[in-house]
Amino acid sequence: MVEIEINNLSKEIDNNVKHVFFISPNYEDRSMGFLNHIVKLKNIKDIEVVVLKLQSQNYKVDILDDLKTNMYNYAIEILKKTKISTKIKELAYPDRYTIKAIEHLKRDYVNKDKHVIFDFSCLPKAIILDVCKTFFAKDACKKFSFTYSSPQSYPKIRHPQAIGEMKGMLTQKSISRLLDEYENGTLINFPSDLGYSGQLISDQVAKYTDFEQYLFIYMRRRSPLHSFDAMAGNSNLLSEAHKEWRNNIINHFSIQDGYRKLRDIIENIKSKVGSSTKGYLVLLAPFGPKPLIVGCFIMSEILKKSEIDVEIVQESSFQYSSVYSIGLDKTYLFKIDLIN
Amino acid sequence: MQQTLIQKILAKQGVNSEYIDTQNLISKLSLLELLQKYERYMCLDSSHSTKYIKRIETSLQFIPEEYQKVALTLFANVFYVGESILSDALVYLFKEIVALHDDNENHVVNSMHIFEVDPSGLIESFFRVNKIVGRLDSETFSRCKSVGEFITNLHNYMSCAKLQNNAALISNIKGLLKKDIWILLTDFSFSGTSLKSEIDKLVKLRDICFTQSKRPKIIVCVQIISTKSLEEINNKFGDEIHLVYAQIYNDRLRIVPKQVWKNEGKQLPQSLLFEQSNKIYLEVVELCKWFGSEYIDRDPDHAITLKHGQRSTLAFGYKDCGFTIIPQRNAPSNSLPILWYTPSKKFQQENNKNYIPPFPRTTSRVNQSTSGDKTHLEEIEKNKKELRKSLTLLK
Repeated sequence: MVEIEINNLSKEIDNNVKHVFFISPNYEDRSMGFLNHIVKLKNIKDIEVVVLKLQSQNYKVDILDDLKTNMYNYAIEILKKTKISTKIKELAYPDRYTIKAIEHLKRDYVNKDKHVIFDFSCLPKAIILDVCKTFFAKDACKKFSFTYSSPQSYPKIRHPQAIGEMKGMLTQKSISRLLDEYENGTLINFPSDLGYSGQLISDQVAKYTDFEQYLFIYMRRRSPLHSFDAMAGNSNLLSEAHKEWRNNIINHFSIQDGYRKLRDIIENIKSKVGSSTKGYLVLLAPFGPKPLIVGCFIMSEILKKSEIDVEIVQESSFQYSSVYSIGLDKTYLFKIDLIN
Repeated sequence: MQQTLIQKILAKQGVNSEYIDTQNLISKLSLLELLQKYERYMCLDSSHSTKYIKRIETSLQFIPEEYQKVALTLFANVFYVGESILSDALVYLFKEIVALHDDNENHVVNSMHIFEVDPSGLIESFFRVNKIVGRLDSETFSRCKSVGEFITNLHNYMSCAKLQNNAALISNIKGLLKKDIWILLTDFSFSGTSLKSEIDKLVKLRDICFTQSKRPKIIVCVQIISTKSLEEINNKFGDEIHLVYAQIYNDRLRIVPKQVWKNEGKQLPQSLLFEQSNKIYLEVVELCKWFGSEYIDRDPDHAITLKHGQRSTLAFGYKDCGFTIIPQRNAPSNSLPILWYTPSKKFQQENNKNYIPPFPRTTSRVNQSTSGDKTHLEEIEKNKKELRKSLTLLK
């Protein structure tokens, strides 16, 4: 996974290849981040944009749904004005959602000769992981990239968005059950700014003395204040990390830096554990920026190849009761090396 | 039950629980306490408490009642940067350099030479945390640690015929000339003064030693930089150098009065500090003005620094940077003096008053004297042609 400067997007577009971009407008301003860059692309021949609309039947918040519809209509209008071929697709989420929905996206819009760019900014973790599973498969597409737009800020008053037990995204097992099956392992924790999810998984793992923990702290390159706020949100976790396993706190300064440092840890685990060690589990808990979910997925594939058991932790999702983020800060573009 | 000074300040009229909540004081102070618990501020002697809250209380005792609330709020808005963050920043910087060179770590290690601005062990840390072996192998890495040392070496080589056969000197110069990447490493750059001057010298040295087509790439690595410094460096050097930094502090994190923004040709930005409260921002500006006029601007020990910075007050730090950043190693002069200033003995005697800051600073530059590199460099530039010819034999 390599970051490419988003302003160099046009250089990534090969005119001899067909391109499919997936965007998913919702009520967050940042859901328009990638679109702003798509419409700037000039003299590019074969681009098709698939506009995904995630729709829940059971969890509806009228005001947010209205906002989402506005953004969705705005995106389609802009694309039509710029005469970019546009397709519209509704996805049921979270109710009635399965990986089949993503497999159908691939079947309908993508083939092995196409370059896919997915905007992950506002997609739920479960969908991102299913996109990775589907599109990283052999011959699924020619090239895969994704974008992520960070928000300017998050609302001050936020209500809990996750309730209930954490589960594994790869095995769908509850984490407490999964932990009982293993004697030792490593937890690699990317806490969210709010602090509760990182704390929950850390507490669960702390019961098992033979589990090593790594805590990643995101020292945002351009936003030190935001970093300190996030540290304050995770101060309890940080304190425990200092007390119990102080050498395992890792500060990363960009998403790419977080990925590189994660890769180093995974390489260390691979050499330390080896495939002969049974009963060892690597738990990846990507609660921070979404691109790290992709990073964790790639690492899980690497660990599986080395026959080391791995799971990606997800907090139980719950509908947001407020706008999730405010404004649009920066859009990042990442390229995936599908061969390795 | 006896109340502490902070409890008294918070209990006073105007400081209610809403203020504590909107300013997020408890959470901010707790985080600062936590960060300093495990990575203790290094310039504390045995007379200082290791507890941040105690040190704040001590400082507040010297501040008049009308400013105490806002001073407490300011002390809660410090960015405390521990060594572990800076160490991980070195890893980040190295990985960025490697990424600039097609992820070929071996190529970078074999091609680089690292200089440090005001050497203080950063090069050694860089090698250690990035697990680069062979730091002391003089055949691989020249022992020349600073741009100043490079200038001295070249000046000696140029001006003394005997030294042209000195093995150590030749090895030092050769070691530098064979490298394709010159890295200039520094921890912080807030005003940009030192870094700009060092880059300027390094660019000149490169132009003296190499022709346009063969010159090494200069990569400037900064752990923490300010927008002010970055803008000045970009304006002056543009594409001449590559600049990589781990974290940037922008103007919205500075505390300076309106006049400073005007002097810098900028609009007063909406501060990000104090939960974006403009009222508190302006109160802090007043607090700093009071502090400047009562303390640091009247201290004879700081008169030279004041003159050198070409400002009328040091109330907002060197060159009016006005930051609240405190690295674990030492407070920088660019941060607000109310955070770090200790009155000189002379000041204490003359004014019969004292101040104990929460982060006492160990001053590294007192009389602002220069090294003499500039004169040596000018002499080298005058003899550029002959020197380059002679250096060709060393390459």
